[in-house]
Amino acid sequence: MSPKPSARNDKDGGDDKDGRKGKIETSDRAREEGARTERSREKRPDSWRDVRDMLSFLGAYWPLYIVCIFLNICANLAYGPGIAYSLAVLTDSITAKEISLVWRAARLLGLMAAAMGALAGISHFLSNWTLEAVALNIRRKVMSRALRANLSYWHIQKTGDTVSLLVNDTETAKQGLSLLHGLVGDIGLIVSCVVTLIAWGPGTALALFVLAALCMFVGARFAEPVGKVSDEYQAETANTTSAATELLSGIAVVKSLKAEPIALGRALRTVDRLYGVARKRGRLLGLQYGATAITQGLSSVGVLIVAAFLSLRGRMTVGQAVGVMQLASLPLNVFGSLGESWATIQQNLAASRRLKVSMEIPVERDAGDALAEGSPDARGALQPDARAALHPDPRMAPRPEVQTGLQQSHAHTALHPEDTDFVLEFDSVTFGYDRERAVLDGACFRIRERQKAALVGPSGGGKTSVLRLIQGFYEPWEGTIKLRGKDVSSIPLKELRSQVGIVPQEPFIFPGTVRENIAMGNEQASLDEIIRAAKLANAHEFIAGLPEGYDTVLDERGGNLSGGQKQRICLARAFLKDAGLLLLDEPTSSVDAESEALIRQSVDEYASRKTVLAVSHTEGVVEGAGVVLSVADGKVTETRRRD
Amino acid sequence: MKTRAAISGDLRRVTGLIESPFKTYLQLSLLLVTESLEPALGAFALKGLLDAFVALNASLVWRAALVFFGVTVFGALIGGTGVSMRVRLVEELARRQREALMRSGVEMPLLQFEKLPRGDLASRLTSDITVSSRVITECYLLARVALRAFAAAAYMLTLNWQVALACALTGPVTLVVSGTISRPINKRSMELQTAIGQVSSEALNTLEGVQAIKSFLAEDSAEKRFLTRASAVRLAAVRMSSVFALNAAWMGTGSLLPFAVTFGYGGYMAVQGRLTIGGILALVSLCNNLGWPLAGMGRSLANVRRSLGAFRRVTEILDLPRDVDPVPADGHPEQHVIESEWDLPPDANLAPVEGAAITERADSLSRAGTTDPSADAIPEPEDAGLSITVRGLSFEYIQGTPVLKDISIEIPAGSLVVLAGKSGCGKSTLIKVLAGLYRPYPGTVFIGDRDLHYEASWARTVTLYLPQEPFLFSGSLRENLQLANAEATEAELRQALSIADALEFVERDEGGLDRKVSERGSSFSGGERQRLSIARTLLKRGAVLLVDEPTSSVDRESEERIWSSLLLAMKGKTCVVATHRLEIAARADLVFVMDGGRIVEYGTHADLHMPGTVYSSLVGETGGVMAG
Repeated sequence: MSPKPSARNDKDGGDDKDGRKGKIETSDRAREEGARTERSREKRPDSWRDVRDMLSFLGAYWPLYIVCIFLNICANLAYGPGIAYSLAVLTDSITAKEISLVWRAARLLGLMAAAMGALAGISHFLSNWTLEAVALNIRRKVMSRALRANLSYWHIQKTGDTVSLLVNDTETAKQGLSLLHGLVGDIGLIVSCVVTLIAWGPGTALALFVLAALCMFVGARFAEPVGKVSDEYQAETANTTSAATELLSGIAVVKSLKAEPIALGRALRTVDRLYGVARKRGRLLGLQYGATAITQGLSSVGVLIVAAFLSLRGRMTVGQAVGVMQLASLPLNVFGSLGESWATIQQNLAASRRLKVSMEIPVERDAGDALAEGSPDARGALQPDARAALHPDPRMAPRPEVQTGLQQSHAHTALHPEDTDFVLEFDSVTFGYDRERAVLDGACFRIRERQKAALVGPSGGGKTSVLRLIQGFYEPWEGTIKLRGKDVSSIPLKELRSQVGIVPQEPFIFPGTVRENIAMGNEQASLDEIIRAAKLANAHEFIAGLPEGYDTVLDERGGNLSGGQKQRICLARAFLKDAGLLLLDEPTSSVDAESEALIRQSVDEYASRKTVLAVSHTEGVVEGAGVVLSVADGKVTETRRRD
Repeated sequence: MKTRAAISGDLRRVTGLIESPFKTYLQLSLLLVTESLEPALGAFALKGLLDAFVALNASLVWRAALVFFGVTVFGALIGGTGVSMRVRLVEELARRQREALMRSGVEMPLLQFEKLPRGDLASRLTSDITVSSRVITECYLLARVALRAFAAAAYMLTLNWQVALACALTGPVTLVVSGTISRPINKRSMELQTAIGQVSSEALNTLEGVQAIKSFLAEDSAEKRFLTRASAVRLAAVRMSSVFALNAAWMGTGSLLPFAVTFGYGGYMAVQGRLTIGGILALVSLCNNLGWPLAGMGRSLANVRRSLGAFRRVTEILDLPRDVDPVPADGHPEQHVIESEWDLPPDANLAPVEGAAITERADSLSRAGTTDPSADAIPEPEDAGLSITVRGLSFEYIQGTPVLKDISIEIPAGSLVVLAGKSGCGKSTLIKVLAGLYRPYPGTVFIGDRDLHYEASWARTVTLYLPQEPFLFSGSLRENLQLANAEATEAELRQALSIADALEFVERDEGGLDRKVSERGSSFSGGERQRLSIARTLLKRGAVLLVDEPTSSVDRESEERIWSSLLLAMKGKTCVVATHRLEIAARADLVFVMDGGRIVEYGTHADLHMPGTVYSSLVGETGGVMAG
């Protein structure tokens, strides 16, 4: 018994959460479940290194973390030896029948309680404040990396997984850090209790060790099977969730195929499997609870009996024997829950391992300076020229090299209108996404200044790959790509991309206003410029018809726009960017013919000033292209229509 | 009280989910009573042990220790049983609710489903169910706290009523303070959840557009947007933790109030010889069931409410209407055949459109004839086409903004019909109505001789619907194809694949038909997905093919192959195609031009392709693509 609730943790998922020391679980259960669903069952190669890695997330916050640990230990000192001592004094003064002593001892007890409460509150808040800051830092680092990762990273990584890293794993890692300082505090508790026990009567300490070993043994017996069944449970939960999500996403198809019974049956089978595992888990948890409770009960009685006999022989006061109950039960509780804490820590470590990995994914060349490392103001430390490249605005921060490059090429073109000066050159470029199969195999072509080029060919033939290579998303295996005579791989990516505009196949709309979405092409653009670009893309009319015009907020993925409207916004964005080379990847696939004709005019006008490379399976925008590049079987065939 | 009635109604519904409610509740009640007595028993055993101690009597100590151990074992057994029983109950409820939700997701009208916010059903299936399944357990825990407090108080009174009373008086104080402190928890936790939801959708959106972001060098602004969201999470979490920190401080100090009272007053009593040391400590141990757990009762109550709330969110979905064919008064839906006034002239030739555009009117409908009435006899869906009659059909997703307005068309059996029009003109909706995915109202739609308002499922039986966006399920290719026809033979599968121009790439992969399909078919290219989706649809067999611009991500060559083999396979059957492609319109028996939810022109391609028609403006000068 102790003047605090005993810390037997009910294990049926937060049955009674009267956890130790009045700590309240900070996360609610649903979030915890979500985090666990994600956990993997990788083998742990080196736990210490993982712990070190997890601690490295603390970054500049480590002194605060140490303070948290210190506060924790102080609270535990009050909680363990402090209260045990007060109890001993109290009991002795009662047996001594000294009322004034009783009052004094009661005061001592009250003091300890107050200290404990205050320390618990402060350490809770401080720890949360610190760890939330750490979590923010982790999220920022992961996002920063992910945004600058090589595009090939997304071939193996699902975006959903990264989102789960950012949301769930970060949360889990944060809990790990919190659990870790709790564990250090627990060690402090055990040490202080044992020291007090030795001081009062070494026999009790010995008994405690023996019985604690028993508790740990029983705990360990269950740790393995419970861990296994919990993993199974998580895996089945994840299965059920994804089966259900899939069923619902494809519901129209299922209905039209009249495949409801089959599809529903498949999903329901996962529910049944989950239930089977869940029942097994329930039985095991019950057994574990029972066994732990029995060994802990046995142990408390054992220590008490030793204390009783010590006091019978006069080696210990009765008060100390009572105090022993508090001193012994606390470490026993910690030992009893050690198995569980260990299992949780493993999950947390797995999460932090995944985070660590995601913080080390390869990023694109010269993206390093923009990575958010260390202090939150890292962005402020950007090189001035890098900053200029970030905001390609001809009026305010001219891109020196780009601009001069353009002027040079203009001059050059004027001198030799026929040859030599090409905006884009592919010289025997070989490239593929996996080593087995080359998508482009020795592709050669050249595009001249102020030309409209069409890129045609079967799907999967490599058209989109050409566009990606130009933007430096990938490096060719062999051969060179030159932009205005300069090898693309030697041009800093920011500069390269500021020279290239793109309308992608899948329109990208982010949550924000129409204006913000278009201004992505040039953040400094005025509303007039934006409207001009929108008119070029034949988007002005429908935008003006939106409830709040250019200030209409588009929701997630532009759900309130049609496919064609989204495409036109992306076109406007590219027109606004007004880059030297415009890449169009099926820019009008969901646009009506009327708009398409207007867009074609704008594209032609663009091509009369700059250069356009357009992918299309149908004529449309590419009609009247000066050069048609057919991509097939990895080769590019040039057909010049007119010069 | 109204809310109380609602709560008891909810609890009845929960009970309805349990397989054998009577047995379950009986077991739970027995468990509850035993578990509630446990602390009192424990305190009794403790008192015996300590009194033996103080009496310095070895044999008494042994005996008391034995009793104490016995009580511990008993408590452990009961506790273990309780844990596994409650887990089982939670899981049983979770399973039933999951099943019911999935079923209602599948069975509700598609329109209803589409009106739910994206991901709403999935979130109810996951996070809500984990909470709502605990509803009985949470009630149990609440009751256990109360009963334990009651049993403890009773035993305390027998030990020493003065001290017990003084101790009990601290209860209300603890409750009030703790209640005040925890009041903002719900609000704060909602704030936190919202912030987390926002950060996660921001992240998803950003990462999905990572390529565009890179192209526009917008990494920094994207990162800034994400950081704003992430900082909001931090702020919300810190705000919440300040409440929790206060609570932790109070739990640490304030809940010791009864102990202080017991020790002070009890010590005084003990000095006077009216209470033993064991008695004091028994009282203290019983206090464990008064101050601290009672203080947490507010939270337990909040848990009960939370799980009831989650349960209501689940039942909300379960209570949505099912998509069942209404059985008319006479009970024979088959008898709803075309009425006599719809017996149109046997002249199957369509009235050619003369001159320029003709605005569709109801009276002009009669000129657009249908097949002879004999075709309306129920045919074998595999063999012949079916005619389609739409009359006065209007349709709206959101009340007040009709997508289809008073559409009336006749499609003769076995003909190829093209729906043309700009995007948003209602083509896709019309196709979905014809496919039986939306129940037509107001207006009537007949396929063959059956009214889809009464028998939307009939349309799903006889039509082959090719959606705009192909959707593949995870599993194997074969499993995907067999969704359409579980008994399809190997030869049939191959034939369907070959018509869809998919056989080649399927066979090129060594996995063949057993090749794994990843989630949403992301292991296949857009064109491949589309071709697989076509093959799957073809396996279903039906008399009417409904196509919603399926070939947008397939290259031209493959597209032509697909179309020629598709039309060959569908020879003699009715085909309705919403498309941009001129070649198909040129081949069509009839073209309907839609604009703003109405049919504005119809006729053959040759009739319509004239200066001044809406159709010719759609076809445009490009000569290749029509409006989309």
